[in-house]
Amino acid sequence: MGVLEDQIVWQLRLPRVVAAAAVGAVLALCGAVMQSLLANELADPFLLGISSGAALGAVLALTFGLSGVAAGPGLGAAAMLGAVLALAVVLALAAEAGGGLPPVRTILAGVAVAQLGAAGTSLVIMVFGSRDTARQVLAWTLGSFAGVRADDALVLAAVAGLVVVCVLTAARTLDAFAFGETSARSVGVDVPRVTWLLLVGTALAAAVTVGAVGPIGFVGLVVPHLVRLVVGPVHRRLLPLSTLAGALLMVWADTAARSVAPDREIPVGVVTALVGAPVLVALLRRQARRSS
Amino acid sequence: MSVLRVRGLCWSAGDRRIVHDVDLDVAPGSVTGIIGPNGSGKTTVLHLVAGLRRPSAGTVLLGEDDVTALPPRERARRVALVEQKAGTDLDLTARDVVALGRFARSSPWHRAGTEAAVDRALSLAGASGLADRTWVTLSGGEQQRVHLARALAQEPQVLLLDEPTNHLDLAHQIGLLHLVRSLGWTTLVVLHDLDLAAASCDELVVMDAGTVVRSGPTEEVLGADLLGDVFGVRASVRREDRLRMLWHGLVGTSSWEGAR
Repeated sequence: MGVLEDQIVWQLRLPRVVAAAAVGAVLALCGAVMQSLLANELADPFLLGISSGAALGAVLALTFGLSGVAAGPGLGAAAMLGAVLALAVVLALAAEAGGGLPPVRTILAGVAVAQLGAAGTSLVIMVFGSRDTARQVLAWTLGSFAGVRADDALVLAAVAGLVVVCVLTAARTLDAFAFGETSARSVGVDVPRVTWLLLVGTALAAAVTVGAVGPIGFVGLVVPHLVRLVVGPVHRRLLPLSTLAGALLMVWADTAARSVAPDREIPVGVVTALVGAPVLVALLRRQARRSS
Repeated sequence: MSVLRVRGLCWSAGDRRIVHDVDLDVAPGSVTGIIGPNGSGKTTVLHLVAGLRRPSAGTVLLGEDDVTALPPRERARRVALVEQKAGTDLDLTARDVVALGRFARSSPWHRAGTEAAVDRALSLAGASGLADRTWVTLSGGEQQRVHLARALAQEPQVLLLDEPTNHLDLAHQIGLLHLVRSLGWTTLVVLHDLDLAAASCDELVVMDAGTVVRSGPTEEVLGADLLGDVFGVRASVRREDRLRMLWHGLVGTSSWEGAR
């Protein structure tokens, strides 16, 4: 192997594969946790306003300044900041006086903040943005691993490791939510504490991935459903397999994104949507058949 | 000598007093029933005793300890609750559901003994045959048995049952209460059927408008005047171990299966 190939593999391809595997694993695990905790099958890692908060952060960075920011790490930092702020607003809206996070209120707060963030993003683009900004924002919201460097990959891998360990430790706790919150409490789960730790933890992890590679949809939503079909809903089996499946799927999706078109990349979010949407429809149809 | 002592228990939702000044005692090994009309606060009392709600006043003492002050896991080792109706869409097997009852008695690193405890609980609840069935394939009566097994797997000092016979036909109502009696565990059960309460409880607590209007041994509590006062009906209920009578009658004549 020549020096050039050597460099391509070690400096470009490997970080990219590591990043894709890490992000896929994190998103799949976050989706599984959100779906179980909120007792909602349509929950995904971006449910708590994260992706639209990140988009707003990114668009503000692209528009107001920081022209040097355009593609570099500054954009990711702005996106992550937006995501974390959106999450904080959602939590402030959803939290009860006693400190609990009731599922329905949390979901509604997430939807409200997501809409607000989307409105803000559109406004900024329409009023202040150039055509170029609109294009850049669109490209960013579809996600890409193209700009990932070795140190990004390391950070993502570390986040993924942390998420895997924490979430796998909580497997039995998540099982206890099968019959709702009251039931979880009656078997000994500290529901408010667990909900805060797991929801905020997974949302922050998702925010890190958004900052690094943009909001990549469908993996967090679809992978847990697919894995549940194969191994059932018990988290001891569901979570490790979702980790693997999410990582694999994202590596494949990124490979496809890189190599389907001859001389340009297509956004990885387009690939995951193209694969994920039909799978989701098939799952819904299957479910409709089962419950009829 | 009571396992469970409740004193001056109050709970309000906003300005509305739902439960006030409730006292009750449950003796070890006895089955105590809470009866009363709809909206009299029975379920709220049970949830307060289970530590799921914080009382606005009063205490729930389990032995020497206040239930509301116990950490969640410790509490779940002392009291177990079977809710009125709790379902799931997930494809859990009965065994998975019963294993939830072991949450407070094992850890992610120490699962040793879980399987044996689950088997024991399933067998006590007469649900061993259901172990590998998924939740949605179970009938209402079978689901209640599995919930009971889950509660037994917690190995609590006090078992709390909230109208466990709701949604069940007469045969399964009798079967379930017969089972609860035969376990010999300390039990506090909310019932709305007087006949079943008379037949299955050692002691009764009668609630009306959020407080206890009468309590004591079943025979003493169930007088005709009480039924008139609280339920607004004239009737009488005699207790001659009716449950056993009903049970043997049933086993003799119908195809009801499941319990011993």
